Amino acid sequence: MSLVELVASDGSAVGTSTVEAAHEPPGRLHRAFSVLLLDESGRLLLQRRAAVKTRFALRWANTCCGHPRPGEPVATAAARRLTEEMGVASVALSEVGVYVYRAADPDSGRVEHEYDHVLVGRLDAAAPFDYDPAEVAAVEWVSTGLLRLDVELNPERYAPWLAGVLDVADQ
Amino acid sequence: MRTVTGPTDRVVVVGAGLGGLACAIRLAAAGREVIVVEREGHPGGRAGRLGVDGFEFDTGPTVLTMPDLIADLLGTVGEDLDAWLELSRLDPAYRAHFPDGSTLDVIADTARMAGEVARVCGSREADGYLRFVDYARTLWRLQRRDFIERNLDGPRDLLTANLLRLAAAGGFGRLQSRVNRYFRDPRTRRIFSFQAMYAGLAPHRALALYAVIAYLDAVAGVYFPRGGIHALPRALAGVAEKHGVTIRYETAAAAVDVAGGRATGVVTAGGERIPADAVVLNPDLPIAYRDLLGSDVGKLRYSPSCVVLHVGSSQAYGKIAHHNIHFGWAWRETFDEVIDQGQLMSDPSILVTNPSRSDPTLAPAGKHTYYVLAPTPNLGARRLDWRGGLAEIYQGELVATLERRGYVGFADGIEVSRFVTPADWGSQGLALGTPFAAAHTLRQTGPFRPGNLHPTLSNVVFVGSGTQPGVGVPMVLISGRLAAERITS
Repeated sequence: MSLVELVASDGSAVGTSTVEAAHEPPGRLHRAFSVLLLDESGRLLLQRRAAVKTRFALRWANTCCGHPRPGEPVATAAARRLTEEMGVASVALSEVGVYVYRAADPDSGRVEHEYDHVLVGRLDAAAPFDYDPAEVAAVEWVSTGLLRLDVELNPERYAPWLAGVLDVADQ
Repeated sequence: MRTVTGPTDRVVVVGAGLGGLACAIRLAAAGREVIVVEREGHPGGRAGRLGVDGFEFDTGPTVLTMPDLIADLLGTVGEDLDAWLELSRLDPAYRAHFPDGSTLDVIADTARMAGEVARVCGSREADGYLRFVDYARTLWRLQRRDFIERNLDGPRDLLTANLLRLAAAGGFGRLQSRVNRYFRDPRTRRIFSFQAMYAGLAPHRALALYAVIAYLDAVAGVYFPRGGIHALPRALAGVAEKHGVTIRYETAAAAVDVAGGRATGVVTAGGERIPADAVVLNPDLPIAYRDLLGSDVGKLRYSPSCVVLHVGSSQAYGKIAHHNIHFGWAWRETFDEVIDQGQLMSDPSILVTNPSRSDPTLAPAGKHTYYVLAPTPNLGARRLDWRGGLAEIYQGELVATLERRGYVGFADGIEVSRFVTPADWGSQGLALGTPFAAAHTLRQTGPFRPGNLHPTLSNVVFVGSGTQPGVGVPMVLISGRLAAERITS
């Protein structure tokens, strides 16, 4: 059973919870991370979340997301998840900020309430990688400028945290 | 571009607001017979006039930018701007007053402004200012022809090379994030992002492409006509009448007559029927749909509103400019309160305009006029009972705030005053009691904003801030041109 770290509004750890319980409505604030991999021309690697995901399935999101295990450093967890989910290893990640949000998934009724550390890294667009089809339905490199436009016009296509994570990465 | 079908020889324009008048002049220039019906006894719409005991107040906009748009409009009938309006450039355009007591003048001269920013915030910040000006100018050039001064029928019309350039320039990111890239000091960050409020959004929510508003006032310049902003609609009405437009004041429209998918005329409140080949509607767009067409524009997200305190005063203040923005300590929280939580500002940021400083004829000799504007929620925030005592309480709070922010003796100096609340804007026919129309979210901008050509009535056209391109005097003047082009193209 996987655990997440519950946090206070200032990001300090206050306990642990199962993933399941943390996402019961109204959602408990827990530590998470969002990774954005950008290529040399500033394009972002998007992933489409697999159909079997319990939250926001088949929505497009940033390169990879996840929860650190209680006590696990965010950068370690992000690197681990990036390898497991996207098959991308050895990318230097730097944390650029935090995005705190709450979003209910209208399809599953589950609620994300995350203290989301945003990490950015560079990946050569030509570099091969093998994503895990159990986690990821598709991937695509997109220009962040046009992505912004589409997120505004068609928010239902995207994970609800994507716009906020892009805002943090923009600073 | 879609256009009005069938004959267009005789056009009835409902409303002599800035948009209606701009459209009427262009229609007259194109040889149309134009009749304007206006509910009030004077032109202007939201840019109205309030006269009290020798004090003359503008009731609406106080900031005028882009006079070239007026010159261009008058040029369509061979008239010269200088013959109709005496414009002076305000220097500074604004004075920003911060809660730590510092002030920063916003000067629409890039070199001098860089010096002012350096004086207050240091030379590194001045460098950021210069880079921001370049950026905002680029955005304006990318947007102007393709997206603002053009009729857009649908999203397809957006697909131009400039859309890609605008996206690449970060135009669809957030305004506050973008501004923060150029500025470090919280004061300059506010000065170049507060304009999002004009678009009805918080700077951290508005798109970066709205940096053009800051560009148009803080960089391109703010003007003031002798006689006040209301001199502008007066001039436009004079030009229109000189060139054959009939303006019938104190004639309220009650309905648009419709037959066979077309408007056939306008019925006045007095029961008179004025036949028309095409009809242009300048009232607030949702209200025009509801009251004149008996239909519904659909769900829109509206901008927050404001209160305006008009004061005729015996007091003069040496440390202020024509336009003054008094920022509170709070920033993001202020927008959250007004826009998201439907509350009054707990730490207000206020605009104080002192028009008599530039034009003493607006007040009796030795007296002054003040126009105090505070953002408030619109009438969607039902807890605010403006007519159940809140207006008096909040007026008192604003005066007390002004006293604390340096307007010593403001209360004692008041000779006449009028307080205009969202409830009053609502009574004047503005949807949800806001004079700022539908907010400029991307989904209510460009081709996604309610269109200026009625979707089914083939000869009904809308003009004003509720339609494309949007809010503000320059945009409304442009809406007049876009509406006229629907009829004359």
